[in-house]
Parts: sequence; C-alpha cells; structure tokens
Amino acid sequence: MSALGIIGHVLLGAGGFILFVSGLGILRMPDVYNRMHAGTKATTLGSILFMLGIGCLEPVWLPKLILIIILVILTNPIAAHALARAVHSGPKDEKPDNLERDDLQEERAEGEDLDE
Amino acid sequence: MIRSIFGLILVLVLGAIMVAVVPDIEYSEEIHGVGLHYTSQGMQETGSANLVTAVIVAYRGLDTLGEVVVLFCASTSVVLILSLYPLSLKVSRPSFIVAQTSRLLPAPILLLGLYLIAHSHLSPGGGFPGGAVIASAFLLVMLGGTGVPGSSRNLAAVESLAGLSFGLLGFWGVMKLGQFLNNLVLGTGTPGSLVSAGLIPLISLVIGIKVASELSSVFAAFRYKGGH
Amino acid sequence: MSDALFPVVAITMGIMMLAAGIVALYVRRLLSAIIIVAFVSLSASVLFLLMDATDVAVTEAAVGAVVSTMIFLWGRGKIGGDR
Repeated sequence: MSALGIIGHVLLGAGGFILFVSGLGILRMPDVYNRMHAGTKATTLGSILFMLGIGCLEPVWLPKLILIIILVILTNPIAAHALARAVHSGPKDEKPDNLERDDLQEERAEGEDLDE
Repeated sequence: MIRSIFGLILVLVLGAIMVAVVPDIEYSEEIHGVGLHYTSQGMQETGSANLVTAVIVAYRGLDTLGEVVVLFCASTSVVLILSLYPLSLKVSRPSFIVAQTSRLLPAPILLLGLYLIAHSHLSPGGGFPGGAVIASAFLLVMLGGTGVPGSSRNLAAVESLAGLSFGLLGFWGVMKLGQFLNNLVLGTGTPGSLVSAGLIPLISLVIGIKVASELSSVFAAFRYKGGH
Repeated sequence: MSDALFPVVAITMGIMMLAAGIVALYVRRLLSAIIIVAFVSLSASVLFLLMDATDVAVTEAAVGAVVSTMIFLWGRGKIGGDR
C-alpha cells in the first residue's frame, strides 16, 4: 500500500471515530445546546476528514470532494447557528434555564433584534 | 408501552421477512420484452446517452405529460386552499449570518439545478429533480428573508407558459411526423454530446421550469400571506 | 458495491428505515415525526444509489428530503404546532 493509501485510511478512521463520538455526544449530553455542540461541530470535522480520506484513496475525485467540503463548511455551522437561535426563541420548557451568560437574551431585551 | 412493544414486534417480523427475501433476489443478466428493445436500440432511436431519461421523456412522454398535469393540479389546489385560509405563520427575522448565507448559497444550488436539467440526456438528473433543486434555491432565498423570488402571479404565468410549451412541443410532432410528442422532430445528433437526443433536452427544460415554478408557488403560499 | 456485501447493507438500511418509520408513527411530537420521515427519505435515496438507480436517488433526495420536509414543517406551523 502506498503512503497516500495509508494516509487515506488513517483519515477515514479518524473521521469515523469523530463521527462516532458526535453520535455518542448527541445521546449522552444533558441539554439542547450541549447536544448541538456535539452534533454539529464534530460532524463538520468528521465529514471533512472523511472526504479528505476518500480524496487520498481516489485522487481523481479530489476536486469534487473539495467542492463538497466547501459546501459542508458553509452550510453546517450556519445551520447550527440558525438551529440554536430557533431553540433560543422557542418554547420555554425545551431550553436549559441554567445558562451562566445569555447575550442573545440581553440583546433582545434591548430591543435591537425584535421578532417581526 | 404495549404500543411500542407492538411496534418492535412489527419491526422484527418485517425485518425477518426482509432478511429472508432480499438475498434471494436475482439480478438476471437477461432482459426481456420492451426492456430489451430500450436497452439495445434506445440509444440509436433517441440519441440519449441516459436511457432512463430516454424512457421517461421520449418513449413514455405522454405519461410524463400526465404526471406534469397531476403535479399542476396538486400545486394549484394547495395554493387555493392556503389562500382560502390565510393563517399567518409566525416568522422571526433571520440573523445577519443566515441572511448573508441565504444570499450566497442559492447561486451554486441554482447552478446544480440547471446542470441537472441541461444534462438530463447525458447524466443522471432530469426535469423533475432539477426543478426541485431550483425550487429549493428559491426556498433558501425565502427563508433568508433577503428577497422575494417574484409574485405568485408571475410564478403562475411562468408555470402556464411552461405547460403550454410542453403541449406545443407535442403538437410539433403531430404537424411534422404525424405523432404526438415524437422525439425525432429534431435530429438525434451524436449520443453523448450536449446538443443531441432530439426533443429530450427541450422537454426536460420545460418540465424543469414547470416543476420549479410550481414548487416555488407552493412555498410562497406557505411563507407569505396571500402568496406574495 | 460488491455483490456479496450488497444484501447485508440493503437489509441493515431496510431494517433501520422500518424501525424509523414505525417510530415516526408512534412518536408524540409532530416535529420529531417529520424529522424521522426525512431520515427515512434520505435512507431511501442512499439505497436507490446503491442499487445504481441514480436518477431516482437524485429525485428522492431533492423532493423527499428537502421539499416535502419543508412543506410538512410549514404545514405544522400553519396548524399551530404540536396538536
């Protein structure tokens, strides 16, 4: 096996491990924000590592994979951002009430970001 | 509790049936009947490198026309019902990041949709998925709240024009070759090149425009009061 | 996909889809049901891809996973949330 193949398999393994950890985090974390942290940040890194691993194994696919990576980098964090805001403005009983600091609440209280 | 146990049993039974059945499915190499004709002569007859599109648009073009009509009826009734009961959806203003992204991302999504439509006779894709992808680009614009993709009246006009041109393309075949929706009113060209396969790219384009405008008008009916 | 591996993958995904579909029937919240249905749709799309039915897979991913999910979500909003 060539050096590139070994790197590719290592990257695939790392990506799979990170995706597994993210799944475990979604199951085990206590509240919404923690679960989102596991379910979005780790998924982004896991997918990127996975794509890079596939790219090392099949260098012909690399341009398409880089496009997919760019799309994942663009969409995944922003979807997480929108999701977090949706949770924050959602029903009271679904979000944790033990936040130490809540900048969005303060901002909304000041009336800069009122809902329509 | 009893319900979930029942569900578990259902999953187990159906799963056991699947385990028993799926490995026995034989993918025989022999193709019979009309499938043999499609796979052996489809490429010469239609000039389309993608045989699925050749069957959907050329051989079974009339069925596709019917499908498009069904989709038209469905979307029209959805828009009609929603305009009768204009419940307003509570929508919060998107944040800066979401708004900016929803300006940036629709362009590549639109490009993908147009690619799927334009290469329907060459690669997997076609009018229906391409139209749905284009509609999802419009959906992103609506979700971002940065712009309105056009009033429902314009969408309806585009949709009607697309449906009309589908019919006209069909009658072109009647006038030239005496058969409705005949694919050969244009030359087949060399299979695999962009301008080939007779009428297929044009019909794909028409279907794509129609599906995109129908789904967009359904989205608009949900998102905005009175459809715009 | 190799021929020996295909039935295993197909059966695993099929049972996952079955379980998810039945969970979607039994789950209390409408929102959860919608997300689970989207998951079933996406799994179906992957399964079509494994069966080399690329056209169907593309259509299923675009219509089943994006458009119908969005329409369900907005419909849920129109009828006033969960029940």
